[in-house]
Amino acid sequence: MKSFKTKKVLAVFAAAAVAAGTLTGCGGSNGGQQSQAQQPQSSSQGQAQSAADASAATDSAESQGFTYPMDTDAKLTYWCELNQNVSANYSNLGDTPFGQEWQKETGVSIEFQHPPANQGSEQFSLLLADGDLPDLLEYAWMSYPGGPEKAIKDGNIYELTDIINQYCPNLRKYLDENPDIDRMIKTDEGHYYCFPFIRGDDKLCNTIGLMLRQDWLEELNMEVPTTIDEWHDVLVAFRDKEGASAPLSWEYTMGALTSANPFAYAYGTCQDFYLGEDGKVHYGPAEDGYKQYLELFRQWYSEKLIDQDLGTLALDQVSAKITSGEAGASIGWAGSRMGTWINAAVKTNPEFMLVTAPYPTLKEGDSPKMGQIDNRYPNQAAVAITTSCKDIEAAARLMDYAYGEAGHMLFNFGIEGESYEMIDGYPTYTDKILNNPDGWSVAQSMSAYIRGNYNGPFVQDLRYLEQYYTIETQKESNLVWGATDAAKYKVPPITPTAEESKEYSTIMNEVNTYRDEMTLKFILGDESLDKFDEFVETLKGFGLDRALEIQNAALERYNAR
Amino acid sequence: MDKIFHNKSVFLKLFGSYLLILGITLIVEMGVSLRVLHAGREQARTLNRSLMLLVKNECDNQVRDIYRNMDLLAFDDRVQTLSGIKGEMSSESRYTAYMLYRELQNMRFASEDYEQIYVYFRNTDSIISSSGNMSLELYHSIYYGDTDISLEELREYLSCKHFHDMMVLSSGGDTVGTLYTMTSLNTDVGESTATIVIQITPQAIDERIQSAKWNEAVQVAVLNERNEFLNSPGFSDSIRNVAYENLRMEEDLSFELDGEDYMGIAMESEYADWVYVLLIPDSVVESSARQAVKYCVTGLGICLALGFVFAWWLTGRNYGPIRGLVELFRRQHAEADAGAENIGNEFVWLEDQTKKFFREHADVRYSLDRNQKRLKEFYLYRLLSLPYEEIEEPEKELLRKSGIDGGGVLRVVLLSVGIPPQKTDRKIQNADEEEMTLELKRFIIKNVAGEALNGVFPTEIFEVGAEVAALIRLNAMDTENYDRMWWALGEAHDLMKEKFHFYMQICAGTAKEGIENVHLSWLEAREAKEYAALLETYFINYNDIKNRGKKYYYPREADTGILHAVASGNPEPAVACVREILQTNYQENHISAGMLSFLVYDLLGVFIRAADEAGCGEFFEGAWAEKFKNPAGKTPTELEGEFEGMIQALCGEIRKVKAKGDTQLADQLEKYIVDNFRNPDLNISQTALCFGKTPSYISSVYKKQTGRGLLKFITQTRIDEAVRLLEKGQSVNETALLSGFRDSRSFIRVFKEYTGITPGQMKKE
Repeated sequence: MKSFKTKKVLAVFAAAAVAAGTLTGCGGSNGGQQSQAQQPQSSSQGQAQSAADASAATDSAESQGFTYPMDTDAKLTYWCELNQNVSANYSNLGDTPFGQEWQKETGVSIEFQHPPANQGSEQFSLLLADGDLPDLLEYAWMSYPGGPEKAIKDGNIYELTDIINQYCPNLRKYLDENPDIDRMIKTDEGHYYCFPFIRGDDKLCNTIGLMLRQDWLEELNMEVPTTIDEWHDVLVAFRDKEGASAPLSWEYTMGALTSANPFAYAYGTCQDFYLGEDGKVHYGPAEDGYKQYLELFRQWYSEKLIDQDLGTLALDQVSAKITSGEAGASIGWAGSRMGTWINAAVKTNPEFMLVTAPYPTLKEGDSPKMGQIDNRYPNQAAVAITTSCKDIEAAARLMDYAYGEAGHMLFNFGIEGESYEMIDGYPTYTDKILNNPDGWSVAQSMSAYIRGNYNGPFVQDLRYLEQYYTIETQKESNLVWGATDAAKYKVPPITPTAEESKEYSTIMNEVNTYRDEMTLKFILGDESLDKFDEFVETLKGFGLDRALEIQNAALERYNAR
Repeated sequence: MDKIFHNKSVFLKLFGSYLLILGITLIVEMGVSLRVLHAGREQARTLNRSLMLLVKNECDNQVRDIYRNMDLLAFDDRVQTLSGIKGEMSSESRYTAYMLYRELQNMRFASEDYEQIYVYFRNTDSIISSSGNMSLELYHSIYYGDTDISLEELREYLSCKHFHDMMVLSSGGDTVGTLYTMTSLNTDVGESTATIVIQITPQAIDERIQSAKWNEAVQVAVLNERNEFLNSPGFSDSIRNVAYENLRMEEDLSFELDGEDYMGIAMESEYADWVYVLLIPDSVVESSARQAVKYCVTGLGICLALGFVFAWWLTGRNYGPIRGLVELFRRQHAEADAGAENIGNEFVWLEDQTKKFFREHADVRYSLDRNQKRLKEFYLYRLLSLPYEEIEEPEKELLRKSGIDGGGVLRVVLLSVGIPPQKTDRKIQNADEEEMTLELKRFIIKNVAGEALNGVFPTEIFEVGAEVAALIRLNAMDTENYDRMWWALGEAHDLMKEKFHFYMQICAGTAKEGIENVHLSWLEAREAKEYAALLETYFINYNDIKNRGKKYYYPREADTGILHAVASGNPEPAVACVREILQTNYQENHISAGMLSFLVYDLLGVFIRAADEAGCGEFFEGAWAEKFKNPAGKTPTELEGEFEGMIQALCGEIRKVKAKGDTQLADQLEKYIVDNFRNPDLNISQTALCFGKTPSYISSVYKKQTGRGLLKFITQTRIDEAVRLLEKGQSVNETALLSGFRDSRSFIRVFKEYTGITPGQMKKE
């Protein structure tokens, strides 16, 4: 089998040898050949063609008059995490109306495979170790150990440049029209590796922020806090006047929320990398601002302004505490947290209302600089075609569907007449979504019909969010939370080189573990802040400077793309 | 085919046999069914037992794992530390709680079965769980809000001391989980304030059970002393009637639940206070047995159906011809006997009919044989008694066909009952009796002699009036055959003499060629018989009596000699011949007077014939006939003299007549030749043909009359003409053709021979 394969590969080389010099023009010919060798043998003919005339491939694909649904009996396996809002009602994405429609429209049968909840990255590692890969793998591919380029070189996934050129006119068109996105979703070597999740509008990138009990504020006759001090007053009032045992409570165990801590941003830092004023990558916990942030939280924790069970907080507890009034402020998403909590709590407490608070500043009147913001390509739910896939064309066309007009509507709005109606050219969700007859939340009913409300391999449409946010305060959220210069401090989706990646991940593994341990200890008071310098030294001892070096090099490569 | 089924008894028998076969099938089916059912039960029992063991091991392992993990936690420092806190938690213990949370998270991650794993601390009324740290109240509201257990009950339960305990958690009567509890083991202080809880779902137990099930209908329940089910109530409610106290361990159980019979088995857990109960409806076991029986019976049914079809086909195939025969006989029957007969069993009827048919057939053949024999005898008789020419053609045809006309040498022998001379008187006395005796004897003769002769020659033997005629086909006309015939006949004769005490008279005609002469042979045999009385012998051969009967010597050679001599008008040989005959008869035979006159007439007859042939028949119309009227009264010498005179006179007359005829012939010949010499084909042979004589005759007559050869005359005539033509100036070639020569070469040759010169020379002159 092996020798057979080798022969085939040699044959492909022979066929493509003449054209090798003209190979795509992206990246070195070395990488190009590598990816050639990894191409499936079944598509060798088409591949030779595309290699010979890559630029014409798009035209030829279009001129072939290709239409969905495909006439194929392809059955593909598709691995992805099942969003909690889906798993509430469906055990498999393929059972949802969305999943059904997607298969029907494309003509491709998909067998969805899902890891147990909250075990996505562990199961992903197991998959890679096992080697028995599904045809399509949805993952945060930037997080692949060593980066996506490594995933290609490891022989786990296909380099997609030729495949996109040949089979994916929709994605090709979108990338041609959006060069900034195109830059994000490539590796430094210029290789495409995934069908990305793209936030279709900058407004979709501000999703996380502070929220607190509006009804309490009104009761206490207080304004929405904008500075650290105001926050302190409010939290104290919540604790003392409203009897909140944990005035500020959020899902500390949720990395996305903890690393986007608005109070840390106020001190010009965060738990992770950020882009400094100098245009270089910085590691937040090693900066001075981080110490100030820790001091603040340590103080607040000792004052019981912060949930005493901080380190173990997960959605269940936080939800229970917010809705029961044990907590009065939180950090979270406007939709899946704020909206859900309001809807749940008003059943027992009609007065209950949350309000979004802007990113706090140290001084009143200052406008916040840093804040949470996603990249347009947020390193979520990108789909790669694995080397186990036998029917490349079917897989590629299945994925490309989402980037076309019909697919865009399906992924963002679902099925016309069922989940949405076109009213004055505006795709408007029906009551089935917004007032679900089965009593499902909007997030749940949306999750049945679309992927727009969470993520997936498509371009997210802002019009989803405009309707998703049903409550006034939600709708204001991206104005309130977006009023920062966050994008300026956001590290773009950079990746270390494959060679550096192992070193980088080894360093960062230790660094982050130590950071987490020490951060909690500092906040809980288990460790004195006198040891902060020691903490920074320890981080550097792990090789933080080297990691930053790697990151900055990656940034340079990215900027050079 | 229909006929067979129209017949009731046949149909019943057929139907009966099919029923019998069906019966056998059913019995086999019953046997197989019972056997398979028994085997199925045994198998189910074995399977159940092993499944039970499997389930028990699986679940017990789960329990053991849980216990082990609980033991680990019970001795965990953090648990012990945290359980010892009095009052407010320090920052340090908060971090310890966080670390314990991480530990529980890892533990839960390691075992998919665990729904929750947590530690309750009585001192702080809080819980550290894999889902986070919180107060018991919060924990209860988040995770046990829907269950039947209240916060107080939970707190009370968790506050009690436990060691490898368990509690069933139910919601609305349904089991939703099992809590395994264990109080932490503080080594120093007797009292503990922490309770470790691992909660598993009924589904986790079900999954273990499911993996071991051999049939979907198998139901496995995990039941504790309080009759609570620990696994999911996915099975039918009926199993809930099974009561813990009614279970006997490790014995075959049988239940009746909801009117259905179950078989089952129960086993005690080794680690927990519960029992595993396995139930399977009898119907499942039976259905697998039925399945087997179904295949068995289907197989048998197919065999039966195939057999039936094959039998049907065979019957049709075999019955077809029989039916044809039956119909044939029936038609015959119907023609003979208008009343349609009830046939009954067709096969028996057919057998009777066939027997009858063959009997009739034999009778007919017998009489046919006899008739043919008689006919043959009739034809043979005709053949004997009539000259062959008188037999008509159709009859001859028949004779040829009957094989008699086989060519070869045939001899007729008449066989008759020899009558001893001394017994002649008795013959008249009782004619009837005698006739019968004769008939019998003839029969004997026919058989015995026939037997004897047929052993040697092909012989036709048949009665002709009072005699028996034997037509013997000899191989050749030689003495050996002759002797063999006589030997055979002699044997037959002796046999009759010995056994039947009568004699057989044998009169043989001479052997003749072909059946045309059978009549002659017959006549000879009859003639021989006339001598029988005279010769006083039982063996008479015509050849022996032929000459004896003529009584004078007159050889045939003499006859022809005389005819020749007289016809050619030559008296001397004829006279010498007559003299020799007369002298022989007188001197050697001492011929009687009567015989002599016969002889004289014979001789005269010869001369009359000769005279007729020569064309002077009128010679004997005169006195010559009178002279021989009384030959006996003349001496031999006188008679000789008279014959001589007569011969001389006759010959003279004949010569005269002859000469006259020859002159006429010569003239006619000359005229014919002169008329026809121009024809090159004209020669002596052609001319003789034209006159109806032989060439030598006309040549000799012509030569005698004219003194020259006939050929010479023909040639001379042609030469004369040629000379005439040549003189007229005709060419040689033309002359040759016009004068009757075939070609000029022979013309020239012949011309030169006759004239001494060639035709060319003649022409020049």
